[in-house]
Amino acid sequence: MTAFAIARTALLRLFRDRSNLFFVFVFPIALVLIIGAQFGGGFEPIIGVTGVDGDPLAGDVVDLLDADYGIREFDDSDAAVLAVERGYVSAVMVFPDDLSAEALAGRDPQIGFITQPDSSGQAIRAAAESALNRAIGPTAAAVAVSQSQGVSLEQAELLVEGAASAIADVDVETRTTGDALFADLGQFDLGASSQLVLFVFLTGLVGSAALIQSRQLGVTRRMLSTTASARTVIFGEVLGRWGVAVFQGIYILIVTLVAFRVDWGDPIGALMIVLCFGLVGASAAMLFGAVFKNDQQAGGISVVAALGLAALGGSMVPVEIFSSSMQSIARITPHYWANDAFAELVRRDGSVVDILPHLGVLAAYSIVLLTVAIWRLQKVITR
Amino acid sequence: MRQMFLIAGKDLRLRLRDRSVFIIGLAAPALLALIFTFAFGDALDLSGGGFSATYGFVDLDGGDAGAALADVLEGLDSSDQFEVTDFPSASAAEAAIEDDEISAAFVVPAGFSELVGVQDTAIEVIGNVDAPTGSAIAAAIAEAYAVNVERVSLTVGASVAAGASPDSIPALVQAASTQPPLTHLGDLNTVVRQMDGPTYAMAGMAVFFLFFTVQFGVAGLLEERRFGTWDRLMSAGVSKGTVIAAKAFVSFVLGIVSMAVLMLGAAVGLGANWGDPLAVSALVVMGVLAATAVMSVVAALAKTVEGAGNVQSIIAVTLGLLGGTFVPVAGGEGILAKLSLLTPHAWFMRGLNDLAGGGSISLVVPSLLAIGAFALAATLVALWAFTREVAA
Amino acid sequence: MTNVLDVDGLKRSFDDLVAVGGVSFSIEPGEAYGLLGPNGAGKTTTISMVAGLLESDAGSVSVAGKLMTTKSSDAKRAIGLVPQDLAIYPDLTAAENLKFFGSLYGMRGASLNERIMTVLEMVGLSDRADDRSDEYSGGMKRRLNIAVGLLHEPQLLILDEPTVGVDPQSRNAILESVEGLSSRGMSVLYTTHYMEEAERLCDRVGIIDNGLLVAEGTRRSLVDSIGQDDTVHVTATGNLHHVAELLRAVEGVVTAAEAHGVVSVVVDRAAIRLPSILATFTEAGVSVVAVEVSEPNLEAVFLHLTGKALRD
Repeated sequence: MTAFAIARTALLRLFRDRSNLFFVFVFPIALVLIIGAQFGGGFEPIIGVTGVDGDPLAGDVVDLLDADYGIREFDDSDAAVLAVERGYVSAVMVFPDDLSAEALAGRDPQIGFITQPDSSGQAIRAAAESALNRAIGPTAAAVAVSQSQGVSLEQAELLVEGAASAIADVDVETRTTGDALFADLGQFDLGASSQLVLFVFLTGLVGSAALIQSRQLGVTRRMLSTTASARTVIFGEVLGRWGVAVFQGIYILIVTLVAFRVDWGDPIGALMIVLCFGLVGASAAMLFGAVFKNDQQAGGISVVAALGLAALGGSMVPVEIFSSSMQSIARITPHYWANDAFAELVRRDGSVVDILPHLGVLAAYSIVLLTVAIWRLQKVITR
Repeated sequence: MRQMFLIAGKDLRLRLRDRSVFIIGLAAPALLALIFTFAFGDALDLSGGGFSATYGFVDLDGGDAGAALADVLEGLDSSDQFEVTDFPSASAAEAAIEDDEISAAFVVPAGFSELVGVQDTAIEVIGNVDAPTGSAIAAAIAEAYAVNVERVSLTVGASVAAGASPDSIPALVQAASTQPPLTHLGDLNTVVRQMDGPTYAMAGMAVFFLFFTVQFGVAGLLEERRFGTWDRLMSAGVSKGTVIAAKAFVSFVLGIVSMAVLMLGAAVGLGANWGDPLAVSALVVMGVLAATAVMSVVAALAKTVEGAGNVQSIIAVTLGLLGGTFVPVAGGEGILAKLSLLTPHAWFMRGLNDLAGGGSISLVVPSLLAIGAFALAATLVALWAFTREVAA
Repeated sequence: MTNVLDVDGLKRSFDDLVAVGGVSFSIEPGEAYGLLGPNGAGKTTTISMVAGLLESDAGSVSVAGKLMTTKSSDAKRAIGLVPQDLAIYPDLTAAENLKFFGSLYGMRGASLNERIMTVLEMVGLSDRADDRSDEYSGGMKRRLNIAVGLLHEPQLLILDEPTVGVDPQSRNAILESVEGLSSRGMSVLYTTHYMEEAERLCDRVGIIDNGLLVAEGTRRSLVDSIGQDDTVHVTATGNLHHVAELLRAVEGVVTAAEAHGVVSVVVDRAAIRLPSILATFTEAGVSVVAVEVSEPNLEAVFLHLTGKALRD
């Protein structure tokens, strides 16, 4: 197949420029790593604490929070507060020096608390309050018993301990619709799938510069003087870009799966998304390559377009937290459909069948973009 | 000096004639910052006003315990951020979740009031996978309620063990239920040392693209060589230092102009509040110097325009990413956070963040020193590279 | 025997501009045909239609008996195009470039590799086959450019102004390559606006101006067609355009035109007419720097036919 020869040469030229190795292979993984590290590996928010040292109650509170949150201890409250102010940690709890003693004395210890004034701050505040209540519950009960029944505090504590083993638990069972784990805040943030979507499209789109170079060099014209038809030439170029984009997508899938244990859901489904979405990127590159004349400008505009579409389509911040009008706009981008397809696979445990509509939309994007690109390119090169 | 300005003037004219500098220096950062602002405006809104959740409540118990939870939720309902709706059955609530009408539902099982303390029992929270924050808050609210119920049971149980008469149990329950919590979270006073969403986006994009914009200046060195005009300049008695200074000056001017236009534009168009003008100007000047210096190093070491462009892109992207121009990085504990503080970007962003809470230039002295140190180090390396080349 | 190329009544306009207004010519097997004309005469447009890069408005092109359109792969297989601009990838080696274009013709495997070695040998680049082409000198790039066009053993090699903007040394290398190919029986279509190249390389020449073929034939027959007229080149300073106009009225002068400080005059017998020609210069107040009389050549033919100098 002649188109394969064109695709092969496109790849050969791409990787002859060593810097492309960085942008295709090193850069996306570095970004996943940075974002992963920033959000504590498990993408959990971090709560800063001070004054925990040696205090049993404060220690209990921290242990309870440790299950769902990252905990970072600060030496003094000023540093902790500054960390929240700068956004380095999501919240800070400042325990007083004598928390346990104060609680046992039946007084009302104040625990200093600040969060980021954003939406995740609300969730952390609620969680901190319930951890605090759970930790302090037995002490509070003991104080109440001692006061109402006229027994000593030590005695009351023993009685509460005894009652605790006899009394049945009241639990909270959490589940979500769909079979995903109960949502931890992690999925809030940039996941590996959104990075994959961002980069597969970016890699595809910056190929427009290579196409323009081919035209400037006169190579495209020469190709058309051979037995290859204009359609074959364009398909070959698309195939080359598609090949890189898909290869990069699979590479990100495998590396994040092995190195960061990212859950991708149904592997066939994930592969199908990469295939369809990569084709959208490659097709868009052909359109850019046909429309623009200056390869450097096309390269710059491609990067901006790829980042902009990624932002709009929920590859930087999930669309779920967009305003409703922005959510509607997001649906115009192919990124939205790729991201939503991954969400279907990972969060809702879907299969290939469940993402067929998404794949269909992506295929439609490719067809439309390619048709316009071919029409335009044929005009440009046989002018 | 005159020669330097002549060369710089020629280069500036050439750059302005080529539209690329406008795309990279102005259009790209402005466009991306705008998109970020409009796409994530609500999410990045640090006032917290954007968040709201609607919960479902299913009381299959009908007893006191269920009513107590209903009271808690009633309290939520009266706030602006939460709304609570009753549902007749768990399946009805689930259907509402599927339709994304509610973020989560609380289900009090039948017989809950009777079973409390007697037998292990549980309140169920059904979360919406697509509303992780709302679901997490619902879980925490239920947890706080369960803890409270357990505490009441403990108090009553221990009181009975201490010899309280069975007749007094209802009163004990009443007293324990209404007992105020022994501790509570008190809000600390704080200033926000973070730019708001649009401001952060613009600052991040402006400094990210700054490192690309300054390339247009120092890359001119390699261009002179390619065109063969370098030898002509040398033969005209222009010193090498003059040419280098001219190119660096072009970088500096392009950098300052792009930063100024972007930041002033954001102030006017997006309502960005940058803080003390003197301190902000100092940060910008220092940042542009650092960018010019680091790109000069590459220009001094590279052999071709393309080679320099590729290396400069890699450096600009790596520093920008590590420096937190897209996502903040410096706040973590790991090695990346430490690496982040080696980038001028991180200090530039920190300086602007600090200024967001008010304050004057004294507040950003650490940032200025850090960026300055980076600029100085890069300048020294660049000078070494340029002199080394003369010897070679 | 079928002609390698038959061009019949070819026309093409761009909006209001008629680029090619009805061109017909043929090339026999083994023949080298030159299309000679000034810049903008319609040479590249003609070549584009002959190579199937551009649809014609009217007329037909057939290569080795096969009709050429933008979509006809049979006809395209029979031609090898050497474009004016280099049209090779600078970041690929010579061998990689050849392999790529060869595979566009469906060539592959050992036969392709063998063929690559052969054409590299032909253009003298065998020892540099694995060097990137952006490391080549200008002449080497040009030779590689020709090699690409030869790869699939076309019946007709089309060279579109291959020497434009090339240094004299590289130019000579190109001309030698083409001469060598031609002597081995390759049919060649060669466009140029250099009279010397057409005279040196081509068996037959078509003279094209304003999108029309104004004359065609061997060098000898074309030169004979304007009789025994001589050409006088007068290098001078002053209003030469005006002088050329005056000269056309002088007895014995067939035509006169100026270009780049030289007035070219076609005249029946130079020896007799020279005094009156020089007198005309003096009368016009133009000082003559040098005078040169040359035998009839293609440039004179062009001047004779169009009243214009060939040089740009």
